[in-house]
Amino acid sequence: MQSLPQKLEAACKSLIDAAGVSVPVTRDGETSETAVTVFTGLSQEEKALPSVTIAVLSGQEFPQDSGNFSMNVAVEVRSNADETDLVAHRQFCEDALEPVMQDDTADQLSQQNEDLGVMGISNRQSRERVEDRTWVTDLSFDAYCCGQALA
Amino acid sequence: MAATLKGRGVVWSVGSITMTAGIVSASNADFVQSARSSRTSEKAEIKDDAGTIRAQVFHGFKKTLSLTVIPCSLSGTNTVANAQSSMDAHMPAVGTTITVVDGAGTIIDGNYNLISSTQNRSVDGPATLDLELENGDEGVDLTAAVT
Repeated sequence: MQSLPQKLEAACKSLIDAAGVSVPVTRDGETSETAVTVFTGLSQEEKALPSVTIAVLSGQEFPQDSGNFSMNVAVEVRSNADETDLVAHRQFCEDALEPVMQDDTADQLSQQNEDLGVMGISNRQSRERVEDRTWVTDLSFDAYCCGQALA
Repeated sequence: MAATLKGRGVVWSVGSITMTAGIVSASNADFVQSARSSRTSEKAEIKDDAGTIRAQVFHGFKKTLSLTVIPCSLSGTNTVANAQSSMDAHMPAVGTTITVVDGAGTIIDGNYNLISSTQNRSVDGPATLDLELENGDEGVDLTAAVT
């Protein structure tokens, strides 16, 4: 079970990386499209903005002794409000979150790792807020999954 | 010897349950929220003169299906008006034959008579429909008209 959160984070990262998301960022009066780095979980890396962070930090086994867990996945999208306006941030969110908003997201996640079986996605929730000078939008959902492929 | 728990396949959620006649999912779409299927029968018990049950006779086999759906528009013609049409289409006359196909199994598959349909609307949620369906479960198709 210890590796299940990391497998799920990596699978989500693969889907979002494949989307090749970029954001217009204005620095020193010049605007350029900046590729976004996707981070996973708890890390000591310095997370420059704009960024996407995927964290799977909690879950519950059900049924007992099955090894199946309902894991909560949080995908957080951050942009510096001094460099990216709100319209661009929201477009960034749409591009970054679209890969996990598909009707076959469970199947796509399973395909990213031969030792991951995602049986279903439920309870998607979204939230938008401002923290200091940062636009923050997150999408969370529950992934019912286990640490092996299910044919 | 202890084994590491790595997970077991289960049937998750309602799967794919579609209707192909009576109410046709391809033209009036819905999100199935719950499905409850049962196989039942009447039962007669034969007792001896001491009151001990000696036999059970099962008769009147029946299959019932209860579905709760949220009617919606087709993805290609995505309008509220189409959702409203879908809602109406999910309330045909009682006795209509509804053909159900279950993508996750075979027990539910088949033709059913519509016993009742109940439309539910609330101020803070989508309209839902509760459908109660029945057919015989002993080789006699109760959806076939008697002539």
